[in-house]
Amino acid sequence: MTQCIATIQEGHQAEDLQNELTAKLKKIAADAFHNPAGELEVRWKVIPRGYGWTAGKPSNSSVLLCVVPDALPFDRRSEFMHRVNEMWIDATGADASELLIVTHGTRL
Amino acid sequence: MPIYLSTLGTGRADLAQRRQIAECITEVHVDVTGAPIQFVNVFFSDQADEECGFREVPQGKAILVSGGIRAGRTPEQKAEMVERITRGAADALGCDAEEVVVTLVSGSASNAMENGQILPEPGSPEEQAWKELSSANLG
Repeated sequence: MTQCIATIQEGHQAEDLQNELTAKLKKIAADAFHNPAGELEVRWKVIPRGYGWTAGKPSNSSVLLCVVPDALPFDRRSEFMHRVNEMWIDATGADASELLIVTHGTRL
Repeated sequence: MPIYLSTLGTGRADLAQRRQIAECITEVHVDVTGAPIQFVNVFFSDQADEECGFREVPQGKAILVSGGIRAGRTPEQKAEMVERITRGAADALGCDAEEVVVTLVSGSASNAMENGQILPEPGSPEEQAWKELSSANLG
């Protein structure tokens, strides 16, 4: 099982696109890790207005914390993050500076 | 990155207090590390949500700040950040510094992407170019 925690701000475009984004994240993970798409669990966390700050100002930033296979080489990890980044920007219309993707490994 | 996840008890801090803490953490992080300000994230939660990184506030404490930062910061830098954030949060909440818990967890920069770029390691030649580009993007 791989997992992605998607933390977004209340009112962000992604809030209304959770089903679409979940499906696309599963597809990218399935392609990248050669796992069935259903194995990626996506958990959404919405930060209420007044609870998120970036650069000391109200935040519009999203954070994706993705668990990836431990032995994943850097080039594949990088490709995975680039694909997620492109998908997210394309689907939500958000600025690239508003998305942080963090990966960390775990044994599958 | 960095991302600071702070857990407070329900009703423990109002909007002005959260803003003050967020501004303190942002100022301290940028001041101590020289990181571009636009990538400093501070998120709060009134309830613990361990799966999402909001850890339980220990008994008798007012706030728990858990900072995810790039690996490579010196022990002196980390100690200064913890000390100044602790003091700033205590000031904002009107509590003793002993009621503030600040922890920092370091992660490899190459495991993260922001603004469409893999993050550079602190002190690397790539970091200088990244800082200059980030500064230019701020306008």
